[in-house]
Amino acid sequence: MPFVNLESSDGDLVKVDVDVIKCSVTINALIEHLGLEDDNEVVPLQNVGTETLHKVLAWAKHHKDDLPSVDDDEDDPPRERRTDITTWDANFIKMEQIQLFDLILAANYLDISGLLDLGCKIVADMIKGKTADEIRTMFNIVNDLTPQEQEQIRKENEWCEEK
Amino acid sequence: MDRVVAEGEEEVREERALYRSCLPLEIPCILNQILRYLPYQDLQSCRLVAQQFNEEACRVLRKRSKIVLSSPKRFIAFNLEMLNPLKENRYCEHFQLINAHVTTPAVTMFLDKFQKCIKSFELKDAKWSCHELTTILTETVKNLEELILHGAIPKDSPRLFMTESEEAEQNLNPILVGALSRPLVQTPQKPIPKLPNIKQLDLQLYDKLPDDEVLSQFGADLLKAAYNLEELRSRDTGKWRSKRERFQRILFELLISPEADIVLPKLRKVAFSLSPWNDEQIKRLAMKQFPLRYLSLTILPDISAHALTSLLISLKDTLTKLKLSFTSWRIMEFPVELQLHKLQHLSLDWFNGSISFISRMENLRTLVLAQIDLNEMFNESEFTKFKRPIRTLSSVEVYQHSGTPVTSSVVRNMSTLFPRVTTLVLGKLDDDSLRTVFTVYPLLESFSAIEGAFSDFGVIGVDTEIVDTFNLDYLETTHTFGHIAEIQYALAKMTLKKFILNGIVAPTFVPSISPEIRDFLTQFHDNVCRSIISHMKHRSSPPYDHDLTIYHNMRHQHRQNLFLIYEACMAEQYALQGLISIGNAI
Repeated sequence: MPFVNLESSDGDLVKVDVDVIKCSVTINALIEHLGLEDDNEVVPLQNVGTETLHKVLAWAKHHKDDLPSVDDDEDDPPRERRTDITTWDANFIKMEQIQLFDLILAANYLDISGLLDLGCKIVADMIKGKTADEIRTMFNIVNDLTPQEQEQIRKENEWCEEK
Repeated sequence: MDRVVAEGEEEVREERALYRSCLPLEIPCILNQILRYLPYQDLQSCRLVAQQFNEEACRVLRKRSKIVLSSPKRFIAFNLEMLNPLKENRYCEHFQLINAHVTTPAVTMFLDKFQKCIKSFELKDAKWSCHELTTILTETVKNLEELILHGAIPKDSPRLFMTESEEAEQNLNPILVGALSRPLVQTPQKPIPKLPNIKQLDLQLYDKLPDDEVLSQFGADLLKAAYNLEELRSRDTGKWRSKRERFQRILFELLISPEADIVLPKLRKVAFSLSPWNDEQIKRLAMKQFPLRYLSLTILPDISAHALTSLLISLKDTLTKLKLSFTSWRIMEFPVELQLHKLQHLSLDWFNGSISFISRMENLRTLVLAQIDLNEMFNESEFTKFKRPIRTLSSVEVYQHSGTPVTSSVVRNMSTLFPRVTTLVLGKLDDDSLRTVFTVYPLLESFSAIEGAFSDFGVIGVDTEIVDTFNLDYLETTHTFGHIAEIQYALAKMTLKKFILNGIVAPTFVPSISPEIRDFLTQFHDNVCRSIISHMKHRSSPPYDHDLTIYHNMRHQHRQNLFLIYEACMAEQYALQGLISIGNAI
């Protein structure tokens, strides 16, 4: 079984089964681009720390036999997407916000759609039911909207209704 | 040289530091993906967080919201309040006009001002003539991608895309008037204007339906103009059922009519059931070569399996979702080599043949069988016709018509053929077959047993008397539920899965992991530990300590009882498997 060495941004090497990490479009492309033929070649991942990399690999290992995702049902009118999370994923994703954000960034950088989806669902769950103020406090976001803009948005929200 | 290398490294370090310090919420594509999981109200709140949030929330809201304008007052108020339509109207592109006359000054002003923002335009019981609609479509809302017409086709001038003078001329000319009543009127001399941006049409014009010919002409005018159409709908409005069926039949006949010569090279979905009368109509539909991804067909008695198979094969490169509703008891067999390699969703109603034809559908994800005899469909002889299991299939829904309970062997056969099912709906189960479901579907995450004749024994695989010793104090809030409801609640707690038994949904689980669960695990009998470990190996997954959350919720003094249950389960292999499998899909 072919292996590949991944180098984290902390400089650590992690040997991983190519079959496990095939879910990453970025790593697939790098392997192809670098033309790795023997097991000693190293794929540098500048934006993924060791701790996060191990988490990514744990997720990838569990999901290596997953079927590719399919399009959402087109019959349904546009609405919030399904937010089902499997038991394993629910346990896997229990972590501090800072780790969660690192994981999402890594999933985005490595282009692993399933893991990115999972992280996004969790953040969406954190946002659900909160006011704009609470969301800003939770994520330490600066409000750069002018009072006029906020007033305009409120007006627009009043005019709109769900399809 | 060294300095150049050092500078390069410095840049890489800076970029790395920049990337890692950045919040996912600052990256537009990630923020957008997060927001897509939010309900409507939360999206509106997100608009008020910050500029970036507003921007991305608007992108999501655009497709989900509508602005309803139902009175002159609202038109005027909207015109006045939304001062800068181009900049501000990024949050909604669907406008629904109810009961309005499209030529009143308020509507005209609205259309002129917002014409570029309107991507989806709905006229609901509005007053319009074909000439007025033509003008709006061709001269005003030129960016329109979706048109929804609800109500009645105007009687006075049923032709679209004709000038007023042409209409007047035609109304005076008895020969042309006569031409209108012919089945399909010849193409007008003047070339039909094109509506290249329209991708979706929803025609709900069931009120005061005119003659078939007039209706055909109206439809032909519209379908020829919207030559880039991708989706044709004719939604159910809740009334006028027979009129809707007539309207849909005419639309279908128009689509396949050689005289009308409708060419829609991008049509991927006809979102209503088509009812071809005979093989000839089926053949004509195949010849049209629409790249259909979705097809729903009502199979009338005169349709042959051969014609239907030919049609399906002609669509094999595009079809992802297929629904076939049979209307007679005639047995219809499809060839086993029917390779619909893109098909993901198959729904069969009243189907009376061998299901083995699906064995070559390598992308099938969902199978829905309604009004079928499951015991017949998956009996031993049918079972042997399958060449190999369908590993892609993750969702199976079966709604039986017969009153005979589903047997355990049929459930086993199904699980052998569809081993990776995670969502299952199955009716007419008894204790034996229900327990088999829990035993043979290790990956099950969502299960609904409908109209079953099972007892608590079937639900949990443990005798009711032992179950009573559970004494689940946290169920106090659900004391009005029946016994099964309590057990299924316990099951949901134990498995984090969604179970629906006889229509009662278990309450949603709130995950909570406690050290007490781990403590409890250490007290387990060796045998139970071993079985859990072997189960873990089978699934090659990390420990599932949360499956034992139920124990956490029990009073300390009852742990011994629970332990006895597990011992009892150990004595009966099926019961243990049942519990463990339930705990699994754990």
